[in-house]
Amino acid sequence: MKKVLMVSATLALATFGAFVALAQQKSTLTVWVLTDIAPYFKEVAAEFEKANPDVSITVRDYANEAYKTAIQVGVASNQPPDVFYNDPGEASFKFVRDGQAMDLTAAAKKAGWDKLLKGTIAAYTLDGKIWGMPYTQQSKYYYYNKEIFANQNVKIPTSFKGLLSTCKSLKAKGITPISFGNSERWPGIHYMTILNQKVVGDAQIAADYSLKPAEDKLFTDPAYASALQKLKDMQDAGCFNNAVNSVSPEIARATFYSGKAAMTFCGTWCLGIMDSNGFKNKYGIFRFPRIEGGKGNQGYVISGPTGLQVSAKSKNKDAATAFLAYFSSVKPQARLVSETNRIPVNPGAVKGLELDPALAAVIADLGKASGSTLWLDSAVESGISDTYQNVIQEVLNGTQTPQQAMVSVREAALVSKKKLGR
Amino acid sequence: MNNMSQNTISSKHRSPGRSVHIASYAMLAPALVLFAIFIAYPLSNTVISSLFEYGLTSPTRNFVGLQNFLELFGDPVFWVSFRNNLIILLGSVVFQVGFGLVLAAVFNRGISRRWSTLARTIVFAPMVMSSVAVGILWQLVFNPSIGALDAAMNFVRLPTPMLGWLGDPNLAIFCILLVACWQYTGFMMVILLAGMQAVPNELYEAATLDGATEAQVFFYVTIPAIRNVIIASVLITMIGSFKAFDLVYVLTLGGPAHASEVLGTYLYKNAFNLNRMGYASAIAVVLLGFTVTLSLIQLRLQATPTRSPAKDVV
Repeated sequence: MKKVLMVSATLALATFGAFVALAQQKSTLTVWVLTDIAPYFKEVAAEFEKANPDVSITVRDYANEAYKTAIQVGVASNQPPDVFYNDPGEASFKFVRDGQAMDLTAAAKKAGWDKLLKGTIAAYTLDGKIWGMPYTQQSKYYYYNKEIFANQNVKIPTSFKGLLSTCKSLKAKGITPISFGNSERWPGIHYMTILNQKVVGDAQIAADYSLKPAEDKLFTDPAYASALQKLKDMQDAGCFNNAVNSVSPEIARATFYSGKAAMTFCGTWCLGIMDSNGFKNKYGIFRFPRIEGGKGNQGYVISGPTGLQVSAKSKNKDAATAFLAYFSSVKPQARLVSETNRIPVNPGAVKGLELDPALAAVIADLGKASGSTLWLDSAVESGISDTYQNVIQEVLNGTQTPQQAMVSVREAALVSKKKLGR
Repeated sequence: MNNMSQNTISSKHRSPGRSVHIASYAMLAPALVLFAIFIAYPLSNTVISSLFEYGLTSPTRNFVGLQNFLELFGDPVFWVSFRNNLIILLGSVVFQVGFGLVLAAVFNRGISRRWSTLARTIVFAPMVMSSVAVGILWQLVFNPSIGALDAAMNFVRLPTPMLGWLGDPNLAIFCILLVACWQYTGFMMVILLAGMQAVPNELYEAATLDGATEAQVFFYVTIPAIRNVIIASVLITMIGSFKAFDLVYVLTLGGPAHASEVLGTYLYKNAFNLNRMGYASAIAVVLLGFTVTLSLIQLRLQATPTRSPAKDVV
């Protein structure tokens, strides 16, 4: 009797153990993303779960500003998200330096990410290794009100001088030429992204942004002040609404899509916003015009991907890289275009799709660009970016000259150079 | 009240043994454990962190001693933030407690009960709204192109600031102060009114019989009677001013270019945007120093016996 009991108890334990083992085989992936794209992520995650029954995915989402705080706390904790959204450049490289991001070079090779849109992988590459997978490309264009342009007989400006004179003539007729809201500081640094590229030149900004020059050569090119002066020139020509530093980006966008401004400089994420506010087909897009006498390649556009990183502490690295590989494939990428009106990084995704005309125009124009420059706030260390954003506000407020502003930027760059040991 | 304390004392006299001590510690334990986990531990951790240089996600941290504090006291943005905290502190004490006092006095004795309830609700209403909602609302009011304030100023032909209310480095902090007062004056009023309603009516009757005017009654009866409530209100306001964060963050993000920065937002920026947890902790320690000092002053003031005959009512 005793023996029977023992045997059955052992058997019971064994079965229980087997169950536990089975349950453990199913790996759970936690994915953190931004709220505005979370519904799309949940759908793709469900598709992936169907194809991989041994993986279950939990998608958690945060609003833009809250995410920046949450992700740092999350990544530093003992239970970090396995896969998480992150901006390219410094935001990602910071985690790489701190040993928090997984090296995805092997996964990239396996999944064939070299076929993704040109430059998108490069934005997540540091020291020859790949640390993130881009899933969408973003850029920034001028959006113009077709009706105002037709009524006022205004042509799309093709040069910076042309842009200034367009501003002057619209302003003279009592129309706000460009709605601009810089209260949150990032729209200003987006302007400086393209102005620095066009005025200062590609080799110079590449060197300064990466803090490579010697201390006495860092951010000393007077062209940086000229680039800031161009922004001031636009303000002086009456391009912008009054009090740009007290207007939020949302209000600036709303001013445009309610027909109260002729143009606005807006990211590709604005396409969906314009359309959902009843402005579909009422606007066209054009890229930031070339600048006469600028030292940079005038055929460049701003662009930068957004993508996903994997935590170095993840316990499910295989499942995580499998999920990324699936995420970059044609089907989810096509869904990204049709559902969220964003630019895919997999060129195969747009084949045979009927695109929103403005999105099609952006994709076509990006294809024609001779190159691209990454967002300035992503390209430089956070201390430099913070100072840059402040001095842009000062220059627009008239409380600092472009030369004074660049002294502060240079000081911040010297601090960052020392901190990063470059 | 008196009965209860006498009971406690007499029971202590009957059994001065250890069991009472153990029982009282046992009853205190849950509170002590929570205090240790949620206050003492994070607090000591912050003090220790302030001696290091590191980012939130850094695997290691470097001991730098008092370097963070030395840098802090030479940092112009720290002093701008400190000045702004002082502006909010003084402005809030004068306007929130001052207006709150006036409003409370009016509602207490000035107007009829029926209207007083309605008016009190209106004045108190902003307090129950979330600060973020209040911030967004006022951001629209201050907006230079669609805002109500500019529209009103234009209507009466007054000039509006060229750089915008929140975009002008000299105005931004005062706009934040205005919103803070709008939001919290009602709260101060309710606290002060509660204090006033506890003042025994006999005092007022006696003062009136003696021929005191309404103003004299206010200054010689009401104010001394609610002295401790006023001190408490002032302290709540002062500590609240040092903890200011939400309204500043939503309205201006501390801008333009740090002009409306307060210690709370500067701390946050260093911790989460600039990757400097050690420096942020040093700011937190300084902030803690200010609030502890203020609390000690308040305790001192409240402990001072008053000569008011009505001191026991609160």
